[in-house]
Amino acid sequence: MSGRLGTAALLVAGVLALAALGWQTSEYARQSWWSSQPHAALEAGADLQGITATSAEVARLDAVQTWEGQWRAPEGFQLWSVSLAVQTQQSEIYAVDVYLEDTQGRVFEAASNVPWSVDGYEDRLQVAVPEAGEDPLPPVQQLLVLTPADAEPEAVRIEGGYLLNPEFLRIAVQG
Amino acid sequence: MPTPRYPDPHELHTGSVAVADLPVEQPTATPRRPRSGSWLAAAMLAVLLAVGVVVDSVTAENNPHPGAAVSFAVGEDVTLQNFRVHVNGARVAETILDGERQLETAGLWLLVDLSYANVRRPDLLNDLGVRDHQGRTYSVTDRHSRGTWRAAPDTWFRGEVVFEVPASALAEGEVELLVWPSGRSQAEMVPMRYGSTRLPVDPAAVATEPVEVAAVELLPAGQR
Repeated sequence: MSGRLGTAALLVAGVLALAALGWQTSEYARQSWWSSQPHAALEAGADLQGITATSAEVARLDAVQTWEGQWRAPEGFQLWSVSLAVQTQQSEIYAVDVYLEDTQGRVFEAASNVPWSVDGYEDRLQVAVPEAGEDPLPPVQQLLVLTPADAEPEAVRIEGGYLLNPEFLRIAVQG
Repeated sequence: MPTPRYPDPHELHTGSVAVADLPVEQPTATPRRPRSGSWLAAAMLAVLLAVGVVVDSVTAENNPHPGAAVSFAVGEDVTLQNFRVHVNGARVAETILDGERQLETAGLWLLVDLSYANVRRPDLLNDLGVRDHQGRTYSVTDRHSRGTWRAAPDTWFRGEVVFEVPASALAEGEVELLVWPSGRSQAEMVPMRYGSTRLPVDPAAVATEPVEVAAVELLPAGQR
């Protein structure tokens, strides 16, 4: 009987040693990796520190009009318009980043590698409650995204970097 | 006379009938053997404790698990974590242009022509290095602005990155180009993959006229 007890005690000690080792070696993952990157997706309608997005629509664009004339996506690429209906109840965060996720799991940043200051399109998603005298936020905000031509949009991600990580909004694309 | 710990019923039967007449083989006393489970648990505990002590004592200076170099050739794609990298070649100049300003150096300017894209999500490739035949390592110069490489998944950018090196670094006709996808410090401390390629450099083909560093450009699909 004492032999069995000894074996059990050693096994328990082994498990505890393994747990302690795992706890120590996972310190980076627990303290930095998880909290510093967007890992916890919230669905449409969820509240992300006062920010809510209820719908995301994505549409192909052939070109957009810039100050220098018409701009088309480079060969082998596709230009998209992303429309987001966003509501906000907070004033701490002024703007957040928008990404388009495709069916291959690739993530593309809005307003990257596209012309700046195109009428009707934002560079970042505005999410602060306007101050007195400021224009209200538009019910739908639009952003441009450039992807390889073979990308099929699956979701729109709203990420706030270190301000919101590890949570982010992931809204499935409609239509 | 010692008795066995677990008497055999068969032995008891034969022993009671003909101990004197039949040369029955008597059981012999044997020392108690430790159970194999105990040995296994003890060994496991010892190994775990040893690993724990080793892990606990690891520092940046004695880390036994630095990054693992992934060799690749000039002209081929290599995937390193969230990056796909393609090195096209290199050239050497005495003077480079930063806008209209000429940048002089006591050594030479090494301009590495490379392209890269991301795998999963947008990210900047910030850490590159050049190591010469003497083991000296040089970082990308901060005297020349690199421009913005807004790479994305399967969205390739091409341009030149600039190193400032002594002429002796190029004496052997090649250098090792190092690509650290998670940064040099990470590559030297944790077992992560980083890229390494032998980059031919002709020390005799040094441009004496000021050279304009190639601007970063988004490449059409399929190009490097």
